[in-house]
Amino acid sequence: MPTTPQSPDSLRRVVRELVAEWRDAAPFGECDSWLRSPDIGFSKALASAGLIGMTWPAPYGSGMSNLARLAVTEELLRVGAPVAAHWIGDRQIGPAILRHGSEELKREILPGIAAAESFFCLGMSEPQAGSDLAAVRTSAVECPNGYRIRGRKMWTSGAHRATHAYVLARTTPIDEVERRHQGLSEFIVDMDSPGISISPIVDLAGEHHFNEVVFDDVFVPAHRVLGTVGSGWRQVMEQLSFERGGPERVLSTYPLLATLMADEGQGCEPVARGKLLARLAVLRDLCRRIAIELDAGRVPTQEAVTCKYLGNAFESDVIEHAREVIGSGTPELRARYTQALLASPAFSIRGGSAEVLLSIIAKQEAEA
Amino acid sequence: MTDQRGEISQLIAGLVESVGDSGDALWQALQELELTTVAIDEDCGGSGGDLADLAVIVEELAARGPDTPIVEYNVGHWACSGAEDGPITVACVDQKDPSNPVAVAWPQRASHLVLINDIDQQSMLVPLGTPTGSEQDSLDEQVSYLDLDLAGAMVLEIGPGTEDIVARLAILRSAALLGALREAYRLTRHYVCSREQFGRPLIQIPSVATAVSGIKVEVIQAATALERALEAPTLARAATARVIAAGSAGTVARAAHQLHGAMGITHEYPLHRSTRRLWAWRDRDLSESAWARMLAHRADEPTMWDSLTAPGPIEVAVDA
Repeated sequence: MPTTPQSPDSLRRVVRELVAEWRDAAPFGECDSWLRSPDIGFSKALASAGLIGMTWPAPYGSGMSNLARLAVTEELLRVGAPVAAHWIGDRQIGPAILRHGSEELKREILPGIAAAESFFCLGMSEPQAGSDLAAVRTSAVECPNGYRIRGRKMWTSGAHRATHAYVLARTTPIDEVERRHQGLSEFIVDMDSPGISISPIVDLAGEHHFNEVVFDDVFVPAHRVLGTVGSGWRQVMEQLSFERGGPERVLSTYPLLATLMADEGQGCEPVARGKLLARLAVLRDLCRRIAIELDAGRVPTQEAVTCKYLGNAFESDVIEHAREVIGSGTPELRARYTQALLASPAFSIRGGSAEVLLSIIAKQEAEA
Repeated sequence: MTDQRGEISQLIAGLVESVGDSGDALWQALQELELTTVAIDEDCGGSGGDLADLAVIVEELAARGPDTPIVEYNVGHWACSGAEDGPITVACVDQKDPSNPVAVAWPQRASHLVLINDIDQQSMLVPLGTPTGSEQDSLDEQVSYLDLDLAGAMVLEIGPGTEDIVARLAILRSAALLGALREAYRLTRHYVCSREQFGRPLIQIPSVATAVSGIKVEVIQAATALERALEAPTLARAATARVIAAGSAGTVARAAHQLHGAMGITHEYPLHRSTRRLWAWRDRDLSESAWARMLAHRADEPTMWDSLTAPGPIEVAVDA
């Protein structure tokens, strides 16, 4: 449960101790662990140490800085800790509820996220709305005491183990709004509501993370609207801009890089290694600067977009770097290489594709 | 940018505008205003100020001004810490025995050379006299290959250590590269917003907009790397900034030319002034590869991670 604020150094020590303890019991260290490695037990252990929702103000968290949270998240990503169960709620939905949610919604939802009892999935993309999020067709129609949601959400990571879903839906039909960005609203939905069905979408690695989630006339109580009805577009854009510049946009393949560096004498080409480490150092510094900006109440859009865009390229280049020496590598290195490679196509798609990210900068620059 | 940095940058922009294309007139003005010895102690003949001030001067000059030897002059004088008053330049070698000839920038403007041997971690002050062999580099116009006579050379034993000298050289070259990167971006953005093809400005073509943003993210990355090095000017941070700036140089030069089409290839249009600088400076002093190798040699994972995540000066101040 929430503890008192601690310095980044002492937080790192707490995380390292926890990691050492859990890794002894069940080895971990896969790449892309924030999406691919759920372990509710590990999430609960982090929650007990006050490390989920740590930036949230009391009574929900201990009000620590985003800089302090960076110390925690990067230590976890460094070792590929199994953090996928709570990642979305901690990073994204909790903060969105804090920004826009009613007091009732905060009291209802936030303690469960911080205690690792409630786990979120994101109902954003649809069959006809991927990068073009404003094209969502899922509808939420007002009814006595709430709304009824109908529609299909796609690529919903972790829906099969989530207790709650964030859902972006249309509260005004598209032919009744002037601009299609209008008439969207955000909802918090219980995954055990009648009318929800989940089908797995197995990915190219043969793993099940994605799902299709069908909402067939699912009732959502009125108080589960997040923020203002009709302001969903502005709110979701804000949500994405807050989450984009985190270390998980840089460190998804760090466990592979660490394995490579531990395996000295593997004949890694020093020039390529040096260039990679230079990029890592600057990307990590961008994460630090973004955290400082967030702590100052600003949204550093261009820095966050740069961090994600260049960070995703770095994550993939780590894999290419490993490929140079894979022939003489250990079985562990080869396995990690394959696992990272098969996870990598998603890096520059999720959270806004590379093309969408660059268009955000282009728009700002053309207006400047 | 702080107010002071903004003022410095305006001062330099004004100077550059007033002198036009004359590098000599600009250099004379910089000397008279004592802007060439910023970030050198006044006791050692410098004009005070800090490295961040100097980096702004170098960046602004590199963006718009004619070529000047400011980086070499400043690093040379700082390295000598007052032991030599005459004009000094700097060269770096990363071989055990520096075989002649050595690539030296601005030899005609210097009476002495600070020769840094990165392998021995040793710096020497070499009188240039009338060096023999002076083949000019075909790309980097200010660089000549000199056969040095080391007979009168003196090992520098006072003043900053070689590691710090190399770090300052890397930081200032990164600042110069950043200036040229910003200028290439400025020209490109202006061009694609004003040039019309297919009945509309080029920027409205999505692939063009994407490519322009691709330059912008490189500029943000290089600027971040430089700021990081200025916060704590260690050799590792300096070399990191230098590697990043050099990498961006190639990427940005290629993209800027592609977006300018045939216009950027002409001698009349100013893009080549920036792109030629990017191509030349990314390997001046030491090649991009040499800087990268320096970083690779320093790395084992736990050490690297600790330095990667060490609190910056700002955070330390907050914690304390």
